Amino acid sequence: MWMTAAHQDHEEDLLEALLVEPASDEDALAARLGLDGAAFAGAVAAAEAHGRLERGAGGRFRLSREGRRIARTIARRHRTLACFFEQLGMARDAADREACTLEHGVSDEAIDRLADHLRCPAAPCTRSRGGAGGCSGRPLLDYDEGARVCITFVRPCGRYRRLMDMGVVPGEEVVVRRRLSNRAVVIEVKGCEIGLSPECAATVLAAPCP
Amino acid sequence: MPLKVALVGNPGVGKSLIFNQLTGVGVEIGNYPGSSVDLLSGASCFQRERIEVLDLPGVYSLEDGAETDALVRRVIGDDAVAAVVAVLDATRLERNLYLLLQVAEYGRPMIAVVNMIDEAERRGALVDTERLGALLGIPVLATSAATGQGIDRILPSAVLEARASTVEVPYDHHVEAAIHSLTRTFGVDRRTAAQALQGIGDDPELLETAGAVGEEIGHRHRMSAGQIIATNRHNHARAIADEVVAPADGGGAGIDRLLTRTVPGVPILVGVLGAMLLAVFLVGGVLEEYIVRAFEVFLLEPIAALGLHPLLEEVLRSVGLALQSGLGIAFPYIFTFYVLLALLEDSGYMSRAAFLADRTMHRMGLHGEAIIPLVLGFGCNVPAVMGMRLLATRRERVIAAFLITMVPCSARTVVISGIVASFISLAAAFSIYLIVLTLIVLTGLVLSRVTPGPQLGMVLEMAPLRRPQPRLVVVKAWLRIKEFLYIAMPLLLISSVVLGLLGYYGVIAAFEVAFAPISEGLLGLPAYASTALLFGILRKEMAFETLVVLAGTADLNAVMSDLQLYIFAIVSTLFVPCISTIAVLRREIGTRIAALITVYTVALGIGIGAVIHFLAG
Repeated sequence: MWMTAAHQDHEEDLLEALLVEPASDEDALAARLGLDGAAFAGAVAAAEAHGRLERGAGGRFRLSREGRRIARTIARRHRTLACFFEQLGMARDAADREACTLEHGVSDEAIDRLADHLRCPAAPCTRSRGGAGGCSGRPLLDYDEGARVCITFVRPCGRYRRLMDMGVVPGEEVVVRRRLSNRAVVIEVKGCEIGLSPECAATVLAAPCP
Repeated sequence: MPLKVALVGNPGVGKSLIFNQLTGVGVEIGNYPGSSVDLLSGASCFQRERIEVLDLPGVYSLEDGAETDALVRRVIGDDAVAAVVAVLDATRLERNLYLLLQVAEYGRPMIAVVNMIDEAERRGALVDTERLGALLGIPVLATSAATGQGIDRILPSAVLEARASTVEVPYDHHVEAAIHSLTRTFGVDRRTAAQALQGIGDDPELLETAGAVGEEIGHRHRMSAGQIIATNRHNHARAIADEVVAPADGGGAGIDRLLTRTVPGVPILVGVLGAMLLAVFLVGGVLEEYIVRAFEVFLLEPIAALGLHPLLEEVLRSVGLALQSGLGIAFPYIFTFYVLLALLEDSGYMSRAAFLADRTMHRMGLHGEAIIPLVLGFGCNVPAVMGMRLLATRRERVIAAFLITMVPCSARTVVISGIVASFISLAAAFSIYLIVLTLIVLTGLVLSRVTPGPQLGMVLEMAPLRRPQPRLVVVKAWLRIKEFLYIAMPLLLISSVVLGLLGYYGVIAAFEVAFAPISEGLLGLPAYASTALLFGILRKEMAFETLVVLAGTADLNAVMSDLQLYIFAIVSTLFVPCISTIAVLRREIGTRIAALITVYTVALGIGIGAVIHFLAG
């Protein structure tokens, strides 16, 4: 099937959108992608012809395995680029728009290198943007005994699931109760004391409570 | 089929105490179908109907990815379970409600029990259980398991009044949209969709789609979908707790401040563990003598006097010996140790010990939490190996498996006490402990460098310091020793008979000849000592007893020099974990590692024995 670059971009946008919201109907998808009827129908036809899109029960769209693979690749490019632009100081919306444009042309090698440069796309931004996603702060290890701090970010690595279940989540107020010479700490969270190894305490960023 | 009622709650909420009060005697340890995690079950009765009460392992969440969480999920979702009793700690209500909110998502008939209500009231925290019941849409009882207050109302309420909770956590709008999409696309319920977003579930297609959606949500929020869901649940738990709990005063840290400082915390830790071992050493030594003598007089001598066919006599004698050595160890040494350990655990001290030990453990590739199975190993290696499950990664479990099997268990204490302390000196006996502990540390240092896999950190709740309840301490020690009696004793009986038969047919004599170059040449021990070491594979203390039998005298000094006795004791302490430990190691960590540990300890035992022989000989 002969396609222009624009058609290919539309197809990739469609796959990416379906990855995020799999149950969207056609009208909502077209509106979200900013495509008119003909362009949207063209993107759907191309995706179906390539075996990337299937129709499930009730004519609902479903990504095939190949479709999901491509969608994930595009989504990864998008967030890596967006994170990079945000780190350069662009506003989130503008960073998203630029990422939308570039995500179709950039090579995977460039994205890999950019991701390495950013350490990981899930790493916190250097600038605080406030709200749940705000990610300023210093590791818990840096605070003295008695410090009352607010969690700003918990790196999703190591035992972060246990930390979350114990109540160590962004926005939570904790008190540093004890610090040993080996940098292990005891914090008080939700009225309970929790002992943390240094490597766990290092994954938790916190800022002094307002 | 009896009605099943399951108790679920965070660790340390008094769930086990409630369980014991509901079921009394007749507690069984078993595995739930499809899970290797132990589950306690006991019988009770209500309105002439038998009720099976299940005590689920304490968990902080249903979605941690650990094996215990999977077991709790399976039991809660099982239609055969008529009611779920969510046990909450009144002093930590907010954190406990976080788990309850997850349980509520299953839509199963449930009630909530707010335990330790008296302790919360003493701190000035008043819990409005009526309001809590209204918010959750289920019956809520106030109890104090320590005093028995309200316990009698649990089963009637669970059987007659349990109902699905009406509480629903409002998630972030992106998560709600994703849940909505997944429920429509895959025809699953809200809870399954929320779990799939966190990577939990059985349907690969659902998991793949949910994984992609979750990843996207995570990157937009700069938090993983799991973190967003957890935060939403915590916020909802806080909102409920704020509405039902009058604020309390913080309570003093007092002694805790001392226990969790390097000084005096570490010296106190060393003192506590040392005193515990010494107490086991002394109490066990005295009690064991009586038990061994009783078996001798009332079982072994009568068997010998029966004048049976030699083969039958050998089999009966082997069974008698196994019972004598098993029970002679179980109660004097292991039970005494478990009672002391339960005292430490129930007082809340073990979590302080784990925190303090974190740095040392870290150097050995482990974390503070590993001190619990390691200390447990001083009683018996078998339950200690099973206790490794609390360690987060396979890497930690592999390292811990090596180290635990080197820890001198009670049976090895008998060898050290019976041979070295009795015939040489108490100081020499302690020097064996010192050598073994040094080897454990060195092994840990090496393993931490060569064992592949990630090293995760420790996240450990510091249980509040409490006065232990004597009854619960004994019950806990009894449950643990039951593990020993059910797992180690049958193996001990079978292996004892097999060894007896090998002896009868002359196979052991052949082994003695084959092993003589190592025994005599390398270790400088008499040839019969190798047979005694072989019996040590059954249970370590049998090495000592066999040595006495083969030497033909209880006065070992008459036939062996002090050096020979010392070498025999240290080789038998290090040499091969007993057969029960090997079997449990194989089950917990796989055949390859179990074999590797066996080979390593044999080599280490013989190597250290040879070094001492050549240095001092």
